[in-house]
Amino acid sequence: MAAWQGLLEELVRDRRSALIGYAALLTGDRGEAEDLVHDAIVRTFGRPRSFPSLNAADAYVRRAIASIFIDRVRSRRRWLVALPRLVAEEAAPDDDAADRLDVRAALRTLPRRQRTCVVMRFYDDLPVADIGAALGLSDGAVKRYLSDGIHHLNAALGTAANPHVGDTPTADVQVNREVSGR
Amino acid sequence: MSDELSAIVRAAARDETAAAAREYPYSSATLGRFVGDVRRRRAAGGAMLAVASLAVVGMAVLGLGQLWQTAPPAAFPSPPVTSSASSVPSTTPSPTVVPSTSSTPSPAPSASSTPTPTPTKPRPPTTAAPRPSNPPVVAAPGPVTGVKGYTGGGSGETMVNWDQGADAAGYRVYRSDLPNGPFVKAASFDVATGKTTIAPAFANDYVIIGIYGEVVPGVLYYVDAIPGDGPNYYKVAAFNSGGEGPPSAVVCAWPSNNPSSC
Repeated sequence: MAAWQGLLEELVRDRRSALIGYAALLTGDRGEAEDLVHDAIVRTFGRPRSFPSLNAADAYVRRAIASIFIDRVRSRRRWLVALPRLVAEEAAPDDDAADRLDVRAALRTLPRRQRTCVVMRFYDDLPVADIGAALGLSDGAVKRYLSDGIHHLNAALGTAANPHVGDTPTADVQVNREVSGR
Repeated sequence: MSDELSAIVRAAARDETAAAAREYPYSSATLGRFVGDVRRRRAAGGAMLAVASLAVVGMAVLGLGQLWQTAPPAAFPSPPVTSSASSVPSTTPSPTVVPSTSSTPSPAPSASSTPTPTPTKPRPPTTAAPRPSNPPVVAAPGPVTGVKGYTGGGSGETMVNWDQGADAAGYRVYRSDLPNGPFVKAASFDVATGKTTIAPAFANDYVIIGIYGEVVPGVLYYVDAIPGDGPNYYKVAAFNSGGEGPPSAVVCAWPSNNPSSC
């Protein structure tokens, strides 16, 4: 068995559920999240790379998830430009007032780039520069997405997160990564 | 607080993780699907890499071939390929010559005498055709003839005349105060443009070279008024793209204010 195959088996067996949970924050749908995780894992192991540990592979797959998610936004936008009827459907509000207290519903109300930046900031504790590098965005764009996203989440969830984003994460609490599935 | 938002987001991720573990449990079939897709993707990547490598190598070979065809043979010291290719038709008659020389008996002279004119005739076009880009080798002009020294005008000029050669693109006049030199270049003359270039040592002196033209066809003159007490000695050399030819014999010319020194 090749080395990559053993690592792939370990990753799929131990981390796939956590990766789907992470992707579900972005997609808002577990079925789509499962498809996104599958695509990210295949892309990650589809090229000859060597990872020193399972955590390194896990981190790489998470970046791939975010990147593929943003790429799908871009391709979908091209389709939307080509098919105006779908634009009308996509632009329609898709959330119910009853779900506003749910963070997943609140995240779904955000545009995808804002959503991705918020998740990478508040779940992964990534600084602005790393988010921009992972998503192919400038630091200024990431700050703008984060600021807008935080504004929306504060309004929807009643939180009071500072919308003025610095270059480093503001979270002080160290969350146990094992608990979160990493 | 952003800590609060982080906690909410992570709690939501934990919920989704638990739900995903229930909905998408691990199985060997799942792993097999991953492994199969990864293998297919790796194979496709390897095939694309191989195709790209072949394309790059092919383009490099084509480019080198094109360069080989268009580059002048001087840039590549190994155009034996073209020479051997061009000599193939010329060497085909030679086998008839070789056995005739090896076989010393009687057929040799008759056999060798008849084929030799035929290969020599086609050779010039075959060897000259593939090398049109070669600059023709030009021989340096021969020695200048008809060189004579004269007394110039009344302002102390000296004059030298010589015959124009057909193979000369220009002339250089060398001057000395002594018959055995040392001679230094005084001026040069370009026949095509009619321009005289005076050597820096005599830049402030009156020096001119020209062609008499219709008055005395085919004769050039050199006149200088370089200050000096005694006679002056001159050599003239012709030059062209093949280089400078041998200098002429030394001639003596004298200024009008000292007519009897030569």
